[in-house]
Amino acid sequence: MAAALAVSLILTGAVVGPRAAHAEDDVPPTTGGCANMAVPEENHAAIRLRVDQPAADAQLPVDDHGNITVDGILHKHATMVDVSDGPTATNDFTIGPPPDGVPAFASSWTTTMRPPHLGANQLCVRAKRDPKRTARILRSFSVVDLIPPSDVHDLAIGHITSTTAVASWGEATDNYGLAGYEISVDGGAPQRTTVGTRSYTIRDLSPSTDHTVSVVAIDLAGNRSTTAATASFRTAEPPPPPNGDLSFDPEQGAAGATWKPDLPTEANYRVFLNGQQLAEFPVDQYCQDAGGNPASPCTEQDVVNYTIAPLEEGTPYTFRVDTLHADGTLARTLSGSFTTTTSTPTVPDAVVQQIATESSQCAGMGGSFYISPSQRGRVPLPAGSTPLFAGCYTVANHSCLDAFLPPSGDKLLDCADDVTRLLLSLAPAGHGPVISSVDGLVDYGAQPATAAPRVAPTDLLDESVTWCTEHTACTVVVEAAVEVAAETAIEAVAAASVSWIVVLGGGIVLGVALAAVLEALFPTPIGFGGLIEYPIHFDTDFDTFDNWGAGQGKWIDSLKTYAEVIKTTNELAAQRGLPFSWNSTEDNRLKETIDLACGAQAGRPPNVGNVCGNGFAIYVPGGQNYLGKSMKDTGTHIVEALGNGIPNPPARSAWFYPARSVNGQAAMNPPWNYRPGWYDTAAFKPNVCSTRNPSLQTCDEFPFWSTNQAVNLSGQLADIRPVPGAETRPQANDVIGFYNKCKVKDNERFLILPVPSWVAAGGPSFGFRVDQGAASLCMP
Amino acid sequence: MLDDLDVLRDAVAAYRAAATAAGVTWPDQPGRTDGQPPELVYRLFGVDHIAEQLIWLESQGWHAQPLLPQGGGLMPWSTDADEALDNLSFAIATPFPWRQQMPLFFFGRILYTFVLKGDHEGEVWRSEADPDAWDSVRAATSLAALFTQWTRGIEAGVVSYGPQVSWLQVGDDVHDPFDVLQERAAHLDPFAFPVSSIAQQPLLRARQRECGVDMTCIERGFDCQEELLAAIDAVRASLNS
Repeated sequence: MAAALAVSLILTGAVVGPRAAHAEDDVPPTTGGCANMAVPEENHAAIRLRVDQPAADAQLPVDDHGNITVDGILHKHATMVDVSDGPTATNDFTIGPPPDGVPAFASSWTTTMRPPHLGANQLCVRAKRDPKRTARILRSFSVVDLIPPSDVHDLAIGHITSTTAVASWGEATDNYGLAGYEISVDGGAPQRTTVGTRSYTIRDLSPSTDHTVSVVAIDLAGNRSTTAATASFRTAEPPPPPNGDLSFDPEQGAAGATWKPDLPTEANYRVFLNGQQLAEFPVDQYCQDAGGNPASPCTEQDVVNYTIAPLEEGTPYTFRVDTLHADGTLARTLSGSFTTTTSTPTVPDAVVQQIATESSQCAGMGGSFYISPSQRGRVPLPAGSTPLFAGCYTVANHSCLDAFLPPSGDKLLDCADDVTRLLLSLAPAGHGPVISSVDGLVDYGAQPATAAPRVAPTDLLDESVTWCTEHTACTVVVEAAVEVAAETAIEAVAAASVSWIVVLGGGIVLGVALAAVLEALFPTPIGFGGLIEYPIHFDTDFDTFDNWGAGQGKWIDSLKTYAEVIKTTNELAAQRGLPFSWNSTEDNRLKETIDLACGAQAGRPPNVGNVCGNGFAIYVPGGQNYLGKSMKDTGTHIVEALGNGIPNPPARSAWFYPARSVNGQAAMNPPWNYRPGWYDTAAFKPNVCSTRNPSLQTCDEFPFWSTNQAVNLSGQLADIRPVPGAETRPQANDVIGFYNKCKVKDNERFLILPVPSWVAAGGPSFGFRVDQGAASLCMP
Repeated sequence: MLDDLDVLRDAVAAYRAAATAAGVTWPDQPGRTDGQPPELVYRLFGVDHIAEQLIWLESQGWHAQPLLPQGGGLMPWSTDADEALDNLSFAIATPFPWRQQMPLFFFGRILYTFVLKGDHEGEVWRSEADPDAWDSVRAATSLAALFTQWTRGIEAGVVSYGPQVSWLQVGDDVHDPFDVLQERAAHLDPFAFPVSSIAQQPLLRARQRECGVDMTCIERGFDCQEELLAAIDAVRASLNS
């Protein structure tokens, strides 16, 4: 295979009954209680079971509620046992008099049930009569849905710029299952979105032009809503050209503004964005020569190049420069507008939407697997595969996977069928889980199927490509790893769930979380007591490191934390020329600290093989704050309060994992009623701060006042120490910056990782977030 | 407001007398100087004159001594531009240009500044270094008014020499000092005293509005502070150029 494949399992469409926990190898497909029937009907003269609806090979439509009605007759002294359709079964029957024309010995029976999928289905109907007389009928038929989804409502167009607009609309409903929406602009080719995606960004429009948008809902049967919702809009005027000598170079999150200095008239510049002052700086500060090198002193041959950041992508801005004489009076004003660019997704939106929608539809129609467009023709189809539509197939035997559906927990599939054999054939030889193999990704750029990886391994470990939460019909999706990564983009808006199927050698694991799946592949006895024993070191090249939990999946988040600390400290030290480097002692201490911190996060005692979770921010204090201002004593205090990474007493390990408390409300609330400066009150005096000189020193406290562990709320009295007064504001700015830049909300927990050698070297504080996909720096 | 210099001298003398009586050890021969600010102060704060009231106060030589309530002290003329500018990093949303105030009294998390120029010249403002406070507010309309409040606080028994520490403490050593000021000395302005107003949100916001604080900036909080930090950086860069 040229491209690495990822395999996930999506769920949609039907209510599924309980499943066996395990299936035998190579078991042929069965239909509930009708297994091993040699003929489609095994009746008994004393039961006389009959199925009137559905008739054999007939089409049976679902009703307004997505159900089918199954009925027939049986002897009035017999009893209906159950009716099952694949994973769905019912024993809730309405028994009545025989229909017209049927002798009085019979009763009628009726039941309703939700078919597991549309298309070809097979019912098993069973009845019995004592003593020990049974009847079974196996009935093949086809389920159709003739009822279209409801019309789309509340279509609105917003965020209109000169070239883009965003359409959004209300949720449609369907009797059986919604597949998504189709949006069309000016009557052009429709674009598909998934069930949970009810907005669409329209791009590449011309300024000052009129457009009409229409949106219809589509259900799993392909029915479209009766009347399209429509809305019209006009794109904005193009940004006015800049006046004076001002020009812009907009990007996604920033823009360069360039102008010619008027020398010696101008001494300083005051710049404004959308009317708000951004900065004031002297002529020389951002002056560049023709080669883009800093120019000081600035001459009339040079230009001033000021970078405006951060900005939102695809957003219009106005920018103004007031040029000032040396005495501060206004010399001239330059102004203009620009719109930041929008990002180009690695995998086009249309492809992501197509995969999401079609795989969902495939599940709804009872498909055994779905192959993304990029992989069609590359995947060897099992013999006897029957296409339901392009990319969606049924196979003769899918009993192995079926036995484990819907997924719950993590399972090792110790069986085989046509689908699992397909998965095994796709697994790259000698590689670990298919999704950790990123060589040869699909490239949607100019050169298809390039060998160069386009996303980092960690990006591929995000299992949150989720949709169809409300449904539990399943299909296996075979797609490129990069496509899986791209689908994370719709996670927030597509309410759904995806389970992972991971293939390693002869083992196939099914699970709801990738990390857990990996762990299931390697059950005990994996002898890792902590990250400290993990075979990874400070000199590992994390850009090419590909063992992100292949053998020890549960360490993924701890590894991300470790790697981010190593990478960030190395990069910052190099940038700033800091006397800092890692050695084995500090490396081991960091691992042990992370193990302990992750243990605190998990609420477990230290040294029991704790692992980190994800979805939180981490603060690494420095000897400078993130703005480069000294806080050496304060940073030292923090790491020493945490025992330089190994808290003593051990109960202080809780301090690794506080929650933000805005204004220190946790400590101020009853029954505590503490106030800032609590260490100077009678209940806590005398202490080490009682002898400070308050006109020169501040009493620093850790855990921070602004957490739920302030004072003694953690069960341990906060560690306090006099520090130079000059560090008060740098340290406060550091904490504020961390909370805000790393988006730590009120009552949200975060980790504090002390790295004593980093503080000693005067490194700046930094913060990062550990999420499912990766760790990412958020401060500075 | 700029005090008449004699009024200021009298107010400070009254405070000194009250503080000394309360137990503060006031240096008999403080290191007096001529009080003249270095040239950096003019450039740092973008002003071309310094009020004589401030020069007189700085000439008293009280620096580095915990003579004020909560052990606060008079800060010397700035000789470190970085530190002085950092000290203004919480003084957001003031109704006067942020740069035209000089850090004057240090109380740990709380800092008092003296307004050097414009309609607010002579006023004393305060701000607290707390991640969520955003509590810039006027502490007093003038230096004399501030010292007078402190003197009255001592007289009212809500400022006293603290047990087990060597400075004047506000409150009763047990309860929230701001509450103590309000309940036991209602004739005093609690914002004149260097105690946290963090638990006094409605009162604080009302006082900020009265003083002309930019409440939009207060509501924007960190975003507004980041703009101030950028402006500080720009001034720092211009001073270094």
